[in-house]
Amino acid sequence: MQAEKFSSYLLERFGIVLPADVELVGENSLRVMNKGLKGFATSTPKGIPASRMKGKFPKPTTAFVQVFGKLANKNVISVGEEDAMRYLAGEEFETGAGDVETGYVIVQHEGAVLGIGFYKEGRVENMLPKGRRIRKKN
Amino acid sequence: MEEKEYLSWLSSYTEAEECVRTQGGLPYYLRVNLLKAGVGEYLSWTKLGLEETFLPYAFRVGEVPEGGLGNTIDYASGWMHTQSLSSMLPPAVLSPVSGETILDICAAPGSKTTQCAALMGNSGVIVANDSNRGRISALSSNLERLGVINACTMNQDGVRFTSKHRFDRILVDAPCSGLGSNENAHKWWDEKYSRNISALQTGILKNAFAHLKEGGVLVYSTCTYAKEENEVPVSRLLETHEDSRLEQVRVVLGEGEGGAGAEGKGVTATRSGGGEVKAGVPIPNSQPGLSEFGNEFRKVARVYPHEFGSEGFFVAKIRRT
Ligand SMILES: C[S@@+](CC[C@H](N)C(=O)[O-])C[C@H]1O[C@@H](n2cnc3c(N)ncnc32)[C@H](O)[C@@H]1O
Repeated sequence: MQAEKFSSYLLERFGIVLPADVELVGENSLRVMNKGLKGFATSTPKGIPASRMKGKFPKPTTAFVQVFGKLANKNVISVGEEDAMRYLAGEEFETGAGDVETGYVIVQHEGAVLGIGFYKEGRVENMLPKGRRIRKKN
Repeated sequence: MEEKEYLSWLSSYTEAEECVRTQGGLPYYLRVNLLKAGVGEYLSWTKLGLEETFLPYAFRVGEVPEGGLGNTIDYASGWMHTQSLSSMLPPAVLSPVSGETILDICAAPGSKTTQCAALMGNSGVIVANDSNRGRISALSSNLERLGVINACTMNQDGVRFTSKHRFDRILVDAPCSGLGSNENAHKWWDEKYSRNISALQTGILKNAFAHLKEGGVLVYSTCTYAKEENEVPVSRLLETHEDSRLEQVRVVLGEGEGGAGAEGKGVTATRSGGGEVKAGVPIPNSQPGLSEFGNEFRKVARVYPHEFGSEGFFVAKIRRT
C-alpha cells in the first residue's frame, strides 16, 4: 500500500517512474531492491532505504535519490560548487525562485545527485543524514 | 617477526627490500561507481587530478585533497569509491555480468561486492556473506552509499555456509595475514600464523566450491605473500575435487560505459558467441604462482607492490567442470 502511494508521489512530485526490475518493499519505511533478490535469504533488510514517513508524507532517502534522482524532471535544484559543499556539510542555503514548489526537492550538482532537501520560500532545509555529511573547507 | 628475518623470508618470493620500501608509500586509487556515473561523465565532472590505469574505471589519484578523499563531493555523492588497484583485481577476474547469481563469501566491508554490483549494472543477485556481524554494518553502509540494490547480506561462517542456491560465480576473498596490504603486519606475524589460517582458508574455499554451478567460476584471493595462504589452499581443493581446474587469470576490462542503476545500463563484461566471457588481458606486471606447485600454477597471479604499484595480492581462477 505504502509502496503504491510512494510510487505515485514520486511520479507526481518528481516525474520519476521506477524501472520495471526494481521493487519497493516494506510498510512505513520502504526499501528499494532488485526483483531478483526475491527468494533469497538475508541477515539484514534487502536493498537500500527508499523512504521514511515524516508526518503524513513519505520522505525519499538520500540513498534512494542518489540512485534514482537522475530520473527526475521537476523539483530538482541545481547548485554550484559552493552551495554543494554547504549542502554536504549539513547547512541550509538560499536559492533563487525557480519553478520549484514547496516540499521535498532533489539537490544536484552538475549532474551528480547529492541528496534531498525541503524547499520553502527560497530556502532549502538540509535533510542530509549526519553520517553522510562532510567537513567543509574554511 | 623482526624486519631482518622478514626480509630474508620474503626474499624467497621477490626482491624483498624493494617490495617493502614501495609498500610503505603506495599511491591512492579510486574506482568510478558505474552505478551512478559513466567513466567519461565522471572524468569531465571531477576536480580531482587523476591518472589512468589499465582498468578503464580505475584511476590513480595524483594529489589527495587537503581534507582527504572522504571529504569530497565525489565521495559524498557515491560517484567514486576509494579502493586499491590490487583490490579491484579479483572482481575484474571474476567478471560477473548482468543477471547472474554471485556469492561473495568473505564480503565485508564490501569493496569487491560493490564493484561486482557495478559490473552487473545492479541486476542479478549478489549474496554478500561475512562471519563478522560488526563488519556487516560497514558492508551495509557501503551498499547504501554506492547505491547497490542487487545484494543481500548473510552472516555465516564461510566453512559452514549453506544456501539452497547454486551460484554462477563465487568470490573467496579470504581472511589472511595481510602482509601485502599492511606494511606493519609482519611485526606480529610468523610462519606459524600462515600455517594455522591455511586450514580456515581451505575450509572456506572447499565449501564455497560446493555451492558453484557446473561450469561456474570461482576466484580465490588474498592480500598476502605466504604460499600456505595462497597456493596451498588452492592445491588442496584441486587435489580433492576432480571437477575443479585452474584457468589463466585474466582481467576482463568491461565494455562501454553508462549511467547505470536507474537506467539499468550498467557497464557489463562483454560476452562473445556462446555466452562465454571474452578472454580479457593478463594482469600487467604480475608474476605466476610458485613453480614448486607445478606447471598449472603458472595460471595464477602474484602481485607485488614494487612491480604493480599497489598492494600485494594473490589471485587464482578456478572453474568447476
Ligand atoms: C580480506 S577481508 C574481505 C574484504 C572484502 N572482500 C572487501 O573487498 O571489502 C576478509 C573478510 O573475511 C571475514 N571472515 C573471517 N573469517 C571468516 C569466516 N570463517 N567465514 C566468512 N568470513 C570470514 C572477515 O570478517 C573479513 O571481513
